[in-house]
Amino acid sequence: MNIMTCYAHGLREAMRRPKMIMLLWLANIAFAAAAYFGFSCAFGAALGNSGMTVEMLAKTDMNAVIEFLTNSGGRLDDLITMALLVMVFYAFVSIFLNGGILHSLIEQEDRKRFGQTFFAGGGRYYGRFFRLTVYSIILWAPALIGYFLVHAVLRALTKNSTNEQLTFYFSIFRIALALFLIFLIKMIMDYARIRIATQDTNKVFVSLLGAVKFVFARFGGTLLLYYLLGLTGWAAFLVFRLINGTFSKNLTVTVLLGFVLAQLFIASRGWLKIAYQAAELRYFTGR
Amino acid sequence: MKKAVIPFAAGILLLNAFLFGALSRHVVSYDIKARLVPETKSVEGHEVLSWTNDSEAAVSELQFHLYMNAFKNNRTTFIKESGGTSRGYKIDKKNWGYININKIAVQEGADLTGTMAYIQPDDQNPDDQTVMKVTLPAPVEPQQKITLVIDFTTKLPKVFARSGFFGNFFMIGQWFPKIGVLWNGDWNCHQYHAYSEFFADYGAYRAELTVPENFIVGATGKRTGETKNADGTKTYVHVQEDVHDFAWTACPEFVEFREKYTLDNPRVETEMILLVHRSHLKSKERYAQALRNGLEFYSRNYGPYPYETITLVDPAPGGMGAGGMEYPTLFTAGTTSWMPLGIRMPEMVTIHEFGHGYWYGIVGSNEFEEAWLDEGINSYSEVKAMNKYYGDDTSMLDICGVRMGDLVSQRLRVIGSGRFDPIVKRSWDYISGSSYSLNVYAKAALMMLTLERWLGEDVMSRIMKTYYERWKFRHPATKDFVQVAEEVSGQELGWFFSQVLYSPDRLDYAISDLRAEEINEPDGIFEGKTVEPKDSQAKRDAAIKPKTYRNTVVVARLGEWIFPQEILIVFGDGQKVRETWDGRDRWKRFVFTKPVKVVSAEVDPEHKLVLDVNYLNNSRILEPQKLVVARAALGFMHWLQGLLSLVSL
Repeated sequence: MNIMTCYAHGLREAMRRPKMIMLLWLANIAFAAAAYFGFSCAFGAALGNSGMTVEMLAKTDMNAVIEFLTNSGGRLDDLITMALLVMVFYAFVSIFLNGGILHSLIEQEDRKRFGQTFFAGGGRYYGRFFRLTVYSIILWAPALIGYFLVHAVLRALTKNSTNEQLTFYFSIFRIALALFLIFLIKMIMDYARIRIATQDTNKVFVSLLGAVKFVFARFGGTLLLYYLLGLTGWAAFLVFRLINGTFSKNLTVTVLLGFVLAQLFIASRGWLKIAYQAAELRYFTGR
Repeated sequence: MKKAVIPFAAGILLLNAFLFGALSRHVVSYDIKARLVPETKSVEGHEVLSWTNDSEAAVSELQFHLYMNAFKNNRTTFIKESGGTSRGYKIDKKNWGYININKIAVQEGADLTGTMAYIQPDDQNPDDQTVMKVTLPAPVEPQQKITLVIDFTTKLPKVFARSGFFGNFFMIGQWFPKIGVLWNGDWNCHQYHAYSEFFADYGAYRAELTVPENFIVGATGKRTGETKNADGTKTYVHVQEDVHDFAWTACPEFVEFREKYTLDNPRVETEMILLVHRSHLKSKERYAQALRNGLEFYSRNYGPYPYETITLVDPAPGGMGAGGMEYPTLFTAGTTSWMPLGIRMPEMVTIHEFGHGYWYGIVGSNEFEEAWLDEGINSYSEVKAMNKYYGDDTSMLDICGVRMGDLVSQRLRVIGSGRFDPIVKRSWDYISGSSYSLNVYAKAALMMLTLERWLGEDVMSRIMKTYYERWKFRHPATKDFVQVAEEVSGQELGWFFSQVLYSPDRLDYAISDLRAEEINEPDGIFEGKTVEPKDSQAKRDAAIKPKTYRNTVVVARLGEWIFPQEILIVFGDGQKVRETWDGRDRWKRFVFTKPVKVVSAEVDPEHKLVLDVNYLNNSRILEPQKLVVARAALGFMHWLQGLLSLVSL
């Protein structure tokens, strides 16, 4: 199967599903909104009445920022804990969303009844995808061991070295290796989910092994497709940063504009998620 | 008899100083021959030490610092206090450091080796061998000189705290037996502590340093000789007067840069020597410019740089444990090969460490007992120099739109800190390293900046110049600085220093309440009569009539320190009112009856009191800026949304 065809198919399929994009965006903002109120209360209590906020409209005052951070330590701890909890809950919800997306992509004929198909899929595969997440430990564990072995070797090589450039490049390599392993496992998980959904099988562990086999049998192709889609996400991010940087948010209207722009970007992440699933599904099934 | 002899002998010392151009009273004189043995990471040394008893009493015991023994085992005072780490660098237990005294004797006299004994004047830790005493066969009378000959071997540790080796890089400081200071009638010879630096007497140093031929050497003082030896080594001779320590460095991977530095007003002529590791050549010009800036700033603001050389040492990668440390006429800086221009670490470290040459080197502060006299005054000087050359808002950080000035970075360390220790305290008595650091560096710097803004820049400048001029090449104490400040400013400043220097409390004033209440028409019982604006005409009249507001501003003292305060109140018609308050009570209310509402109130509007630990509560506005809060909260929400989308991708 031609990688570019799959890539284009993924983008096209995602483009044709505005309702699904909207649903993914809603799920995202629903969780993040809880954080908004927490942050808003914290900022309001610390900054709201201070005259420093008047200057902060024009520019970020590092004095105010560090003073907020140091004088609101306890409150910030609570907020960070809350943000982490939100992320954990959202991880569970995203298992459901994955089922919904895949089911909708597979059951093309039911596209008109989007909601029914999506939620049915989410429920149908939840148990299996959850088990898959648990079984993924067999991928994370060796990856972690492998990473730390490489880390130990590189560290031993640079322990007494005064070659700073080498140490620096090794650090970059370690980060790149970590990211590569994380993305590789996420990609294998994508194919495992696709295998479970397309074959409607309960053999989750077998599907995970099948996905590993599939990925390594077509290593170049699966990676190329994954990183092509990843680059598309980065391009969207750069466009967002470029536009976002063109105006300063010191008026209500520009703050609102910034908010809308940010939400468009988040929606584009939902679109990318669908594109990933659709492109990989096409690559897996070959049709 | 004794009383007659002492002034006479002291006069001889002073006369000697004037006749031979010395800047200080030479209490000590060292002539050292040292050979670096890179294979064993050690230095073989032979030292001839002359010491003059500059006190009023005969001395029959001498005390010495053997600093390198701090790295001898896991029970030394330094290792116990530090946990074997310094600035994030850990001790390597395969490479301990120590100093062995092979022989100590009076020149052409008695062998004192048998009288050597380790003492622990600070903590009685029997495992600490960083201070040694020897008993003399006959006392040294006041103003009498004694000359000792000492053979020693110094084994260097793998560098993690100032001194040691990393690969073929050697930073050799606190490496030879150094006599303590006989001060105020007693030996001031403290053990090597985790959170302290040093204290020694002024004198003359001469050192012959022998290293393998391919090593590049830097050392305290001026190079006066250089000889190639038959055994493949080279000997460098360095001499320097009017200093109280000697350090050196050697590494074959240094690239040496020399540059003449001259300044007209005041007249300064010196040679900048930069020893930059090959990996860091990109930072050479950053170092050089920062050093030029330092020379100009300190010479202009305190006094002309008096020495013929200043050497900057750039530690090898991996040897950063040696970085950021000062020695007379030589200091270590620090950078990395990938250091972005907007991170001003090399500049800040260069200016800071060079500045120590003034407040530790030339003004001989006792860093064991009153470290702030060096670290605090120098951090204050650093903030001023960094702001002058690199911008108030960008002197520490100016990268990707993130900016931070040196003053903010100093405040950052203080405002969130605990209230355990004051600024003046013996360095080993602080509750932790961070408490020592924030007090003697940052809080002391903020104290100096607060004093400057309080007294005015001109007065502060005169205070600093007077203090430097009066105490250069001498050993001042805190009371001496306070005395100069009071004398030059013409003000009694005890109220200021007694709080800030000796109390661990905080300065925090706030606008705790701000409100504008409309004063209504009379309604109720007045002088036995019920007044009620019942009829509609009266209500209409009241609506037309200009409103009057009772504007209330409450200023509160949330910290323990008491400072007089200025309060700026701004009203709706643009009128600005300034009020003053002695700041003594816990709060004070100001009431203004006006036809307009108050808009804002701010305590210390010029931000003179940089010691205030919370600027956010210094001001208050009547109408909260909801937009700023919403913008910040939305920003954080978007950040979380991004993370959630990553989780689900």
